[in-house]
Amino acid sequence: MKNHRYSIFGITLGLAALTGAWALDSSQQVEPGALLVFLVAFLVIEALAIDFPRGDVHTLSAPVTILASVFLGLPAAAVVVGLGVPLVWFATRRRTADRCMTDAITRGFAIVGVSRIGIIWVGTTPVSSKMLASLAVVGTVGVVGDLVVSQVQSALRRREPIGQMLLGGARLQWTILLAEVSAVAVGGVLYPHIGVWGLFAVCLILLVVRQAFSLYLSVKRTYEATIDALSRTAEYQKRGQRGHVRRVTRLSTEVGRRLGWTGARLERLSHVAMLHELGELRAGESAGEEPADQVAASEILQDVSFLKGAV
Amino acid sequence: MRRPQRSASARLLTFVSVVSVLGLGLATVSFQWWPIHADTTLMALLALVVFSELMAVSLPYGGTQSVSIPLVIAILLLHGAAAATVALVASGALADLRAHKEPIRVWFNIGQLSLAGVVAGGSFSLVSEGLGLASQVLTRVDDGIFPAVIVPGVSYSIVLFMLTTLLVSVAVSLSTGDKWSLVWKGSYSWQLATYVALTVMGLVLAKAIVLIGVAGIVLFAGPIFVARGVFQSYVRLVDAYADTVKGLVAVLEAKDKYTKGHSERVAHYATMTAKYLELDEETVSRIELAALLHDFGKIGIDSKVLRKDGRLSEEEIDAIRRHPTIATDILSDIPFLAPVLPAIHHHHERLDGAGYTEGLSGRDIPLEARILAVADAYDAMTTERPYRVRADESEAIAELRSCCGTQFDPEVVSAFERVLLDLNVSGIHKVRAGSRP
Repeated sequence: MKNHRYSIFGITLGLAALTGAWALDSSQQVEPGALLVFLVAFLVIEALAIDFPRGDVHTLSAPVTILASVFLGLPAAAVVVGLGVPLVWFATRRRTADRCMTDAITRGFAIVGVSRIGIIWVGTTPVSSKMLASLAVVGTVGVVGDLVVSQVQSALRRREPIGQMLLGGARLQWTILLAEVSAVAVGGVLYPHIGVWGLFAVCLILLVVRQAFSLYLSVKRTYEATIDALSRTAEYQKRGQRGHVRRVTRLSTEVGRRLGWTGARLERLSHVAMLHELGELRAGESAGEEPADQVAASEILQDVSFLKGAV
Repeated sequence: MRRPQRSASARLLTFVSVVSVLGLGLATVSFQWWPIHADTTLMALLALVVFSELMAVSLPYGGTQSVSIPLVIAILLLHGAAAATVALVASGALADLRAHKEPIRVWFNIGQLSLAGVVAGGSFSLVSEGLGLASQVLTRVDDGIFPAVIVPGVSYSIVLFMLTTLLVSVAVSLSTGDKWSLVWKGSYSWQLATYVALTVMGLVLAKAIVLIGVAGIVLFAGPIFVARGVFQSYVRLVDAYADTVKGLVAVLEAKDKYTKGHSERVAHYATMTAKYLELDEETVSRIELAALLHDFGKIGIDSKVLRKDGRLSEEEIDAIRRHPTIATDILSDIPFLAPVLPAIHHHHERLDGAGYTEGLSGRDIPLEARILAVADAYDAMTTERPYRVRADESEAIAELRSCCGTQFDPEVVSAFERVLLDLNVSGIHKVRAGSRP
């Protein structure tokens, strides 16, 4: 899928953030061992990204990236991201090479750059009493930067309004962001003292959050599939109506969207549209009693608590 | 799923009293081995233990999952094993009281947690001394004790985990009659890895507390409570999914009156048989779902054919035989139901290979489908159908027996007979009378 606006936005932003940070930053010595540890942590977390419905993917690797840029400096963090993102996305998710590079530059470099600028702005490498506060600021700046960049990116890719995408993303993911900021602070406090094990704790925290979210989303996907199955069930009755439900659903959600409906309300509307024919199953028994439709449909569905709003 | 509650047997009572006397005795003595110095962090940690128990997630099949283990491990490192035992007992008792458990179970849990806490604390002391990590260094959590401290820490949590789960499994098996190894495998074995990971988190938490005090607790607790909230909504959705499956069944029953209650009765027979055959919990719940949905494919068959009284033509029989295929077709996109589909697809296969939909024979037919076939046939025979009169129980059993080896799996049929016998004896054979969706 070629979309130039998306690529141009990504590459410009990423490179701008990186050069901006580079210009402000004096380079640091990097231990190869530490670099390797950060790279491994990054690979693990990035590979276990959360798949949101509608193809969104949220990776929880931002804290690792931010910590790399705090403790190893800009060049090392750029190496972690520049190697990590293409490796993971090319190997495990079979993205095309150019998409991998664009993603690496956009998301990763933007976070590295933004958090590096944040560090310079807050003060140099965190120390004692100011440490927690500055870590919190740097973490927030980096993580929010990550959200903004990834949402703008997917809005551009799917040609949807940027503002709505941003709001939707923030509403869906703010808890994850909070956890990520916490993880940055934990890592920032512990890394100078116990090194790798501090990073290990960061990864554990991120994995616990990730696990909970992906479990939740998998059940939600099951629900969507179940509703789809129910709607196709209705179609089984009337051979001539193949595709009717799908068309009605598409039309009504489009109408809803134009009316300015969003989020949960729009989702419910599409569920209603998908299930509107269900009553026909019973109507089929005593052919011709169409008014019984709605009653039968709501009778059938009254057990399904997930659909309460729709009945 | 539920078994009749029998009165606590003498063996159970003996077991409970031995465990609790031993546990509380050892715990009392252990205060001398590992003296406690109370301070604000200890109070804060204990308060958080209490809080995390109050916020514990309720799991789909009963029971709760709390995240107090990292806190207990941090207390172990900073304040010694006796303090950790106090935290363990407090959290366990609180969880039980919150779940309104009977006094004897609360008492047993206090006892077994004290016992396990002290024994695990002993293993922690032994291992950490063996590694040369003196206990004074532990309370300060020096930088140098990482990563060596992970060894005693993990040994503590493994001993704790094994002891508590085994003691509880034995108690459960004494009160329900299930095999303790099955109880353990079903309810606990999968939790060990999580336990170890949470332990490492607890060790690092202790270090964070030494570095930045109570703020360290907050930083760790935040994300964990986020995860907890999400996990709770996951559990709620899983619970609600049972209703959704009922919805699917209701769709079918709206169409075919003769299946009213049939699916639920078959589900009841099939799960009882599966339990009798000592299949694991996952398989049992898979069989239950498959049984509820086994006739779902009839949704795609003309109602006139389904309700026809007389003889069916060749064509009509073919149409009816398509129902397992239709079901797998409709339900195949639902990830949650994927493991259930083989049982639905093959529930009309025969042992001699003369059945449908694929003509499988013998052990090639999934066990779930073989169980389903027996339960389905029995319920079909013992209920009124348009094309023949109702058979009584003994006639139906005789018929099942005579088809052993050709249509049905003899092992399954004999298990099914035992189940019917048990149902009649215990007098809870109310399936027919009281099952409406």
